[in-house]
Amino acid sequence: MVRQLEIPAGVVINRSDGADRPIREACRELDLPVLMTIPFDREIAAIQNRGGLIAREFEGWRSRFAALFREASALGEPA
Amino acid sequence: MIRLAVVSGKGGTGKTVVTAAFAALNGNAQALADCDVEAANLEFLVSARWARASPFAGAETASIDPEKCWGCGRCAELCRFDAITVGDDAVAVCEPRDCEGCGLCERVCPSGAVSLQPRISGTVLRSATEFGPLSHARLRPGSGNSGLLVQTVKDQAVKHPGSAELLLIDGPPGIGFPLISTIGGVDAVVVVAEPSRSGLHDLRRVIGVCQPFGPRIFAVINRWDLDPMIGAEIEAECAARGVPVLGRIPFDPAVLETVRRGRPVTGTGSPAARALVGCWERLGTELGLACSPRSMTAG
Repeated sequence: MVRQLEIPAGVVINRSDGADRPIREACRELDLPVLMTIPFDREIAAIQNRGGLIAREFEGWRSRFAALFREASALGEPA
Repeated sequence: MIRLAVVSGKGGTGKTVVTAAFAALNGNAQALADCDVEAANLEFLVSARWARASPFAGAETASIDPEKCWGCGRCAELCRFDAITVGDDAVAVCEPRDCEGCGLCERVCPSGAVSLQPRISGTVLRSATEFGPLSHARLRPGSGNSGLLVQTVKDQAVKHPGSAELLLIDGPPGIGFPLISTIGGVDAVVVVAEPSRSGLHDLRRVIGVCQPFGPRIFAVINRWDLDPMIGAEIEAECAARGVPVLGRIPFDPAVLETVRRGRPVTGTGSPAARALVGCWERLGTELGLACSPRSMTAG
């Protein structure tokens, strides 16, 4: 779909329990960069479930999301 | 035949896992339908073997005969979707991706070069599974008409029911056209909810869409122990709306494990599997299905 529309794309793997090799291999085959991996974590789930933002409430994730935003914004630019 | 659809307002709450579990637990003859045509994946949990595929044409798209086209550009000028361009060879060409099939170009073409042709936007499939025949589909990425494709999948399942006493439908998330197509004519709906703010919000919306259609509505709370407080709010919401909660399924790593292996979770005897057996027994009683669940260790 994104290829049809010629939109630059990357992947965020969510709720990862570490066993995501098949996904990473598929992304490599499709030439899609994996920009972030969010682990399955009860604390993350709890924050999300009550309507919070992990970027605001969970140590370390603010800078990770800022980096994700930078990388995603740069996807369309020539390397 | 009792028609039962498993739906959710929010995506990712576990509809397909619940559907596959019910399919494995139901001891009666059944037919399966995957009406989540935009992301169909029930087939991966029920060991489907594709038996028959037929093209699905949901809409029409303009086709321009280069032999007849004068290159006047009238169609390109009037197409409000900018789907038509006139090339250097003075022949109009329609880009199907952008065409909405409105037919204006056909009407204004002075040379009769334009005709509307069926657009193949997916594939309707019939498969054999260990739990009964499965009707499902593949929607082409970017194609519309998913509501019509849902109807086609459902019609196919009902047309070849065999001796099925139950039609078990894996529904789409959301509250739009695919959902409405899915729940039209069903006897019962099971809403799979998760204990989150968005889960509660989407549960309200999906119940609101289902109620006017008149099916019996039940709920299952999945991964309820991730937030028992919101879980309790969801139960209160269900009680207030007269929606019986069939059970609470705990978060259980065995679910992910069995999904990876392409199996229903019910074979494991894990906490989620035991909860699903409870949900199924309650549902079977409510719907008057002869309830003799298959053995927990089956499959």
